[in-house]
Amino acid sequence: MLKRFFLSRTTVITLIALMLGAVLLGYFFPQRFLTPPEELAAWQLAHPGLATLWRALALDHVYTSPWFALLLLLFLMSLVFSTRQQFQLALNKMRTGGQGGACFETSSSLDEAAAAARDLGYRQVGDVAGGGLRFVRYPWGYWGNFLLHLGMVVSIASFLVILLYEKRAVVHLVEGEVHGPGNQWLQEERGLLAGSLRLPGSVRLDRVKAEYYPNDNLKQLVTDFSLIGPQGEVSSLSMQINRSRNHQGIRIFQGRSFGRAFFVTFARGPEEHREIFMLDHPRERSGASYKDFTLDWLPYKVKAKYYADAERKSIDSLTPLFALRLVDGTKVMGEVSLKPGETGRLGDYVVQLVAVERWGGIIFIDTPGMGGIFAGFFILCLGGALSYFWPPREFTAESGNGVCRISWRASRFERLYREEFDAIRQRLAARSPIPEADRVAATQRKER
Amino acid sequence: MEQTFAMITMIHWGAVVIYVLAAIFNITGNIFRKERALAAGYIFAWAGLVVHGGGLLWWWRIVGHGPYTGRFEMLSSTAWTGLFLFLIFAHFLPRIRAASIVVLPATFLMIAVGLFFEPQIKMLPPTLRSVWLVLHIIFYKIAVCTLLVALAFSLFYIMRKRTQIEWLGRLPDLETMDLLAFRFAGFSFTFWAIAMLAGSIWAYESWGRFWGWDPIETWSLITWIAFGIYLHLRRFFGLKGETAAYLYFICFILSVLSLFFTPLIESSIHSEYFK
Repeated sequence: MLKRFFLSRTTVITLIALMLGAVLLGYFFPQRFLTPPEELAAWQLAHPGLATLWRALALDHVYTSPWFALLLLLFLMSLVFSTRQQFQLALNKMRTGGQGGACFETSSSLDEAAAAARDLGYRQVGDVAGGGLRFVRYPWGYWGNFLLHLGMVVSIASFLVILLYEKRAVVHLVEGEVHGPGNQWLQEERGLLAGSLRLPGSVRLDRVKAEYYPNDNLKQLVTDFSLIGPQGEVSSLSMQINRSRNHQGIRIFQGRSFGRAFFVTFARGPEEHREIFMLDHPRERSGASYKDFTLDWLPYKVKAKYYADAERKSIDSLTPLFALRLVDGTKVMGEVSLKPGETGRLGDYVVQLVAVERWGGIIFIDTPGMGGIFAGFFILCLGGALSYFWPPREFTAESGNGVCRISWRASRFERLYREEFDAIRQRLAARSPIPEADRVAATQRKER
Repeated sequence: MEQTFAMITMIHWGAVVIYVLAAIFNITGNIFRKERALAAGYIFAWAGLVVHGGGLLWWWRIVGHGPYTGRFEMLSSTAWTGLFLFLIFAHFLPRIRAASIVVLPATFLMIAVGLFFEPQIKMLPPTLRSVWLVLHIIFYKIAVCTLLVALAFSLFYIMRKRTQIEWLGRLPDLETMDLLAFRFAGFSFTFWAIAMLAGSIWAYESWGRFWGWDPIETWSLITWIAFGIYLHLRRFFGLKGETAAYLYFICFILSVLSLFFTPLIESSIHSEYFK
C-alpha cells in the first residue's frame, strides 16, 4: 500500500511540484538568514497581510522549517521506493534481458551469428532457454538508471541529515583574542534537531595574513590560530581558503571576512568610553570600507570608514586612515579622520585612535552528511555515464527448423540505435542466400 | 598589455567570422541538400575551434587561470566547449547533426556578446582555486551543449508540424526528433545535477557551507526541478510531441536565465564570476 502510494506517478509529480513551489516561496519571500533585520521589518510593514501568512507558515525560514523537512522526507521516500524498483529492473534485465524489439530470420548458422555479434562489440552473457545464445553490448549500462536514482537518494538523504543536524558557528576575533568554550558566537545556525555547537576548548586568533595581486585583488588569506585544551595544552594551526582543519570532529574553515579593528577612545570631560570598530578590508587602495554602528551611550548613529593606506598607495599598509562621522537622521553632527595614534574632535568628544589590529573570521562546523554529498556526486557521475553513453543493446540468436532467428532490442530509445540492428541484419543477410528469409517483425516496442 | 588585449579581441572576432561562415555553409547544406556545403561547414567549424581555442589559450596564459571568471571568459569558453562537444557527439551520433543549425549560431552569438562586455583581466580569488570549481563549470558546459541539441530538435519538431517547409522533411522523422529532444533533455538534467553537486562540494570546501540558498543556487535548483517535471511528464504521463516541445522551451529559458542572467541581476557569492 505504502509502496504503491509512493510509486504512484501522481504522488511523484505532486511531490516534485511541491518541491518547486517550496523553493519558489523561499525565493520570493524574504528569508531571515539571508535578509538584514531592518529590511525584514520594512517588508513586514509594507505587506501586513502577507506578513501574517509569512510568519504563520514559517515562510520566513522555508528551508529550515519542519514542513520543508517533511516534504523532503516524503520526496526521499518516493525516490527510495523508485530506486528499489530500478534495482529489481536492472537485475531482471541482466538475468533475462528485456522485452520487445525487432527480429528476423536468416540461414546463417548460430556460430556465424555469434561471430557477427562479437565483431559488433556484443558480449555473450548467457544462453536462451530452449537453445540459443544471448549477447549484450554494454551490459553494465543496465545499472545506469538505478545508479542515477541511488545518487539522488544519497544526495537528498545527506541534505536532509545536514538540514536536521548541522551545527555552524562563526566568530570574528582580533589578533590575540581568545574565544572560550561557553562564549557567544557572532552567528550560529543549527539544524532542526541539533543542539548548540560547543568547542572542546578555547581558540585564539594568532595572525591574519592577506596576500594581494598587483591589481589589489585578494590572492590568499591565511589565518594562524591556536586551540587551547581544557588543561591549557596549546596546538597551533594554520589554515587558508580551500584548506580547512579538523579538530575533534569539528571542521574549522577560514572565514570570508577579515579587516582591521580600530581601538578608539572617546572623551568628554570626565566621561570616557573605549570602543572597537571592526571593519572589512577595502577591496582596493583607492576605495574605502564602510560600516554603521550604534553605540549605547551615544544618541547618534556612527558611520565609519577606512582606507587601507592613508596615502592610497598600498592595499595593505601600517598606516590606514580611519574616519568617523556622527549622524542624526540626515544631519552630520561631526566628522573626524585619524591615523594610528592621532587625536581629533568628533562633535563634543575628543577621540583618539589608540591602536589598529587585524581581525579575521573563523567558521566552525559540525556537519554529518557531507560524505554523502561526495558519494552522491560520484554515484550520479557513474549513473549518468552508464545511462547516456552506454545504453545496453541485446542480441539473441536461436536456431530451429533450419533457420536462425535473430532478435535485437535496445534497453532505451531503441529508435536511436536502429542502425545497429540494420548492420547486424545486413551482415547476416550477406551470408544468407535467401533474402525472403529476412523478415523483419517489428514487435512491441517499449521505450524505457 | 593593450596590444595583447587588441590581439585577443581580434582573434575572437576572427573566430566569429569563421563560425558565421561555418553556419552559412552548414545551413545552406542542410536546406539545399548540398553535401559539399555541409562538409565545408564542418571544416570551418573545426577551423573556428582552432582559432578560438588558440585565443582562449593565449588569454589563459596572460591571466594565469582558466577561462571561468568574468563575462567574456565565461561566454567565450562556454561557446568553445559547447561547439567542441557537439562536434564530438555528432561524430558518434550522426542523427543529431542537423542541430548544428542551432548550435553554430549560438556559438558565435555567445562569443560576440562576450566581446561586447570587453575582456578584462580578473585575478583568481582564493575561493575560485579549487578542482571542484573546475568540475562544477565543466559539467555545466556539458549541460549547455546538450540543452542546445534538445532545443534544436524541439524547435524542428514544431516547425515541421506547423509548416510545410520542404527541407525540414529531410530531417529525422517526427518521432525520432521528439525522442532526441527527450534524450538530450535527460542528458542535461543529469549533468546539471552533477554540476550542482560539484558546486556544492566546492562551496563546502571553500567556506564550509554546501548550500547557501543564494539566488543563483536557488534558480539553478528551480531549473533542475523544472527539468525533472518535464522528464517525469514525458516518461510517465505520455507527454510528447508539440506540448513537450513547448514545455521544453520553458525549461530552456529557465536554464538560460539561471546561468547567464541571475548573476547580473542578483548579488550573490556567485556574482564574482560574472560581474
